[in-house]
Amino acid sequence: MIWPFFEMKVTSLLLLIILLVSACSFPVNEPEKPFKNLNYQEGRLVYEEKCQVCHGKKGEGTKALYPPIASSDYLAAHINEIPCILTEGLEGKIIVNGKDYDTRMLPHEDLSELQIADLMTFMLNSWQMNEGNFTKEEVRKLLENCKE
Amino acid sequence: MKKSKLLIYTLLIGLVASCSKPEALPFLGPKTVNELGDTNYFTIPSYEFVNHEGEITTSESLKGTIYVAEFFFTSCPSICPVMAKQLIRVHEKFAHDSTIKIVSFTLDPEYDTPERLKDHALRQDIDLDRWVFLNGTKQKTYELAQKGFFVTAIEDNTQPGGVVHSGRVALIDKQGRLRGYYDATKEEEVNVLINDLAILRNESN
Repeated sequence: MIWPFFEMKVTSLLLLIILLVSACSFPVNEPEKPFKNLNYQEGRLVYEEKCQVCHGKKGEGTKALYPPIASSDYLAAHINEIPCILTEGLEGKIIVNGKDYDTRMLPHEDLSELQIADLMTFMLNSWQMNEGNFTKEEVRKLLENCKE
Repeated sequence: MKKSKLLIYTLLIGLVASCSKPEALPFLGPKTVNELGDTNYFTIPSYEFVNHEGEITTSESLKGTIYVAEFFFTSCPSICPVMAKQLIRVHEKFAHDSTIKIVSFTLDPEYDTPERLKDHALRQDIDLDRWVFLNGTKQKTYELAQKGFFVTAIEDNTQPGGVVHSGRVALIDKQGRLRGYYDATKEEEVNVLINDLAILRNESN
């Protein structure tokens, strides 16, 4: 009579251990900053609709075709040019984080100044970047510098 | 009780029957019947394009090859990256079979020169022995898309890149006949395409 009882105890103990271990191994992905302002949230939506298909859900880019946005030295060095890059497109070889990319990006002419500001707020405050908010007034000023 | 048993048997029989049914792909496009009563299935009209190596590729030179035909362009901002991701799955699935290819026609031939097409392919680690990129005049390409492969491709300057095109790809057999259509933006449809390619490979003629 002792054995089955003992076995049961062992079983429940095992179950408890499994449960504990599985609870511990719950995915520990670094949580994305849960809230930033509304512009950031709107910018995320613009990114998902217009940019993600090429530049990736996490800004990681795609193969050697489309460069990363996340931790991109190119982006950091060209912040003031981003509005013009978006509205006029980008063509020719560029180096991003030491790798060259040469896929033409067509103009996103349908983006409004506010959408560009929100998109910049999202891109430049995600993925280890922390550049603060951008307003549509700032974007309008930057757009004046576009060629032509 | 009896009813449910009957249902289970019917389901089982149906399942077994569907499994053992020999799979065959249809012949698509307009058929013609000659005076002897033989049916001639539609074949893709002959074409001649320049490939990514700058050499001529013709419909004739693709005879004996099973291929998936895609219309795209390298700076396409909308569906092409999604299609590429799915077609690369097909490309990897048949990595050791040189009788199965993917043929991509550029809808932006002025910008997508053979050299650029090759660069675009190599940047995605594509094996160019099994994936051909073709460049021809705009008129020839659009006409072939619509009247040869029956795939939508229309110039429209209100669209990004100036083109309206669908994610539809066509499956062509060794004789150049149309055997299937798939939406290459959808994973499930590309799974069917992979399955159908295997069926075509086992076809005798």
